[in-house]
Amino acid sequence: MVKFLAKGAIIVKKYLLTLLVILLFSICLSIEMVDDLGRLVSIGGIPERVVVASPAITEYLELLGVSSRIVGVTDWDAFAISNTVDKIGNLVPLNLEKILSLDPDLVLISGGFQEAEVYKLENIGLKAFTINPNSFEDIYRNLMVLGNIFGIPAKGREVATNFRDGVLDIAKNVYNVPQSERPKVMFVMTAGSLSDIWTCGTGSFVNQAIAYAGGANVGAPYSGNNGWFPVSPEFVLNTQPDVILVPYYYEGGQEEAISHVKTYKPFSDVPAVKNGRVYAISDSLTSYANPRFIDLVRTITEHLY
Amino acid sequence: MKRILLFIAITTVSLIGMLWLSTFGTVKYSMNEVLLMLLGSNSGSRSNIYMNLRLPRLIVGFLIGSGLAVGGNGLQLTLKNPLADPYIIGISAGASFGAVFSLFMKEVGKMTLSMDLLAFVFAVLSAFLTYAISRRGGRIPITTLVLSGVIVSSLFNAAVTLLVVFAWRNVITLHFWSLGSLSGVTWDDALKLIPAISLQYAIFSVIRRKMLIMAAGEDHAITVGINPERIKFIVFFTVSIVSAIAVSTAGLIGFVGLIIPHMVRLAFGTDNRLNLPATALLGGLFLIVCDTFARTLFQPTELPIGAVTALVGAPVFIYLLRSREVTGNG
Repeated sequence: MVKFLAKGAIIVKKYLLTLLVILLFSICLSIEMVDDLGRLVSIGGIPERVVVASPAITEYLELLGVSSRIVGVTDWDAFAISNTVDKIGNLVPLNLEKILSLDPDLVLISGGFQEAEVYKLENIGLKAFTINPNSFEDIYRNLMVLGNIFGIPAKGREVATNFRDGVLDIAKNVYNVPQSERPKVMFVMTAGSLSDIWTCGTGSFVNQAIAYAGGANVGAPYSGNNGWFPVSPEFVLNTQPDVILVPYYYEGGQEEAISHVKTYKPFSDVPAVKNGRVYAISDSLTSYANPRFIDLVRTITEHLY
Repeated sequence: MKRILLFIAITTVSLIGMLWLSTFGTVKYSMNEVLLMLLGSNSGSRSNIYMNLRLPRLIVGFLIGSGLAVGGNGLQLTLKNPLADPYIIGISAGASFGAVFSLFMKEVGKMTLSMDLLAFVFAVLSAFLTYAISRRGGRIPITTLVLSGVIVSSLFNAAVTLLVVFAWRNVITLHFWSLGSLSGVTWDDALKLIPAISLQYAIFSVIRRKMLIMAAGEDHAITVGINPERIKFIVFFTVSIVSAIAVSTAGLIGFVGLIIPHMVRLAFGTDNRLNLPATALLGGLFLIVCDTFARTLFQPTELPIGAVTALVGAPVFIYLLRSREVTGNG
């Protein structure tokens, strides 16, 4: 018995030493990474307490298996539904008091309209890293970047490669459909009424998803901020899309989103409406360029072919 | 004498009240803890949050509130118009255009221009534009002033939207700019505001008598040897400086300059030495109260402070517009 205990103590001692060495290593292990604003950020040690200040980023951490390090998310983050984490409020302006009170060692934040908040975080002495993906390639790269930040570069590469292969596997099925035979697709996002439509063109990840899925996006010749631009209903009549995709915002909202387009009188002769090819896609897929891009491509291709 | 006592009472209550309000927020403090921190005790991250975020926010809120209230007071006297306020007559909209324009020039024109300076230039421009449009035969009717202010404001707001669309910037930033927020202000902002607001206060103290005489009528002012145009120019100029710095710090905040001078006139009278200090004090206190609501009502989400001041200020504005003071005058 005594012998056994002594043996146990030795094991614990050994273990402790290893633990100490690991701890020491992780403290000394400081890496420098360039974020999506082009800032050189030095990450001192592997972050243990992370605030995710944009719902666009959470999915990356979940896929990398480090979501347990999240201590705070915005009010709009689905992560807060199934996990107990603190809510930090809106994306803009950030509630700096709340973030500081969570004592994070890293704050992950989007660029774009959150850009000004990055410098506010720095001013109060917090480490901020910008993840601002807008395309398939950005998602692939940011998976590896985050893998490095969390000290799991191999896992990051693996997840990123799987992601890229997954998308390309779907795309291979339709890559040789000639342009003339591809269904003409339009993504129609409305803020209430159809007189105010936003659609995606070159530069947006939804445009890429439509291309990988074998569609011909009627908005592709145009572009705007991050690829998004507003159009009038005339644009829809003029381009005569074969398929219209609409986002829906809550489970069960599919019907409403579809009938919104179908019942709009001026659209009654548009091929997509005439042939009943108006499809609803969850806004969780179309709002953020995150690893669920693969689901977006799969869903679109199922609707098209 | 009674008024002096009232003033002393209000000052004491406000100072304690402001400290008490500063305990509310995402992180809650006790009054004891606040006093200890102010006396220099350091309890790590909690005092870091208070000293570097909450306290500058409190002070900047006070400075902006008092600056806008004193500015509104000056405009109301010199324009002989109870509805004059930097927000309503378009000065703030001009300032916000200047601020956004400086961002635009940095992004698109690759030129770094001072945000405060451009905000100031356009604030002055919009002040005189409103003045020129609303002036009718030597006087400025109340409704004409309000309408000109609306026109000038929408002109500059439209120009802001245009710049934002042209530069492809996201509209959400603009939205927050147009309703104002005290979130994330720093000690640097306070240091920037102090000279401008002290300057305005000093100038208004010096020319206070002349402003009061102008409030009795410009013809009257000319007969006692006052140049009304010069006084108006000085007032517009100083109010523009303060509004410009306030806007570039915290965005558009309306109605403070409108309702506070009225409340002070009711409590202390127009022709009173305590009028100006009371306006400054109550203006600051009002904005701090509004900011406390903005900070705590839907926490951890922050409300734009301009929405809170408008919620309180708009009913007062309607009341004033319909009250005898205005109808008798317009």
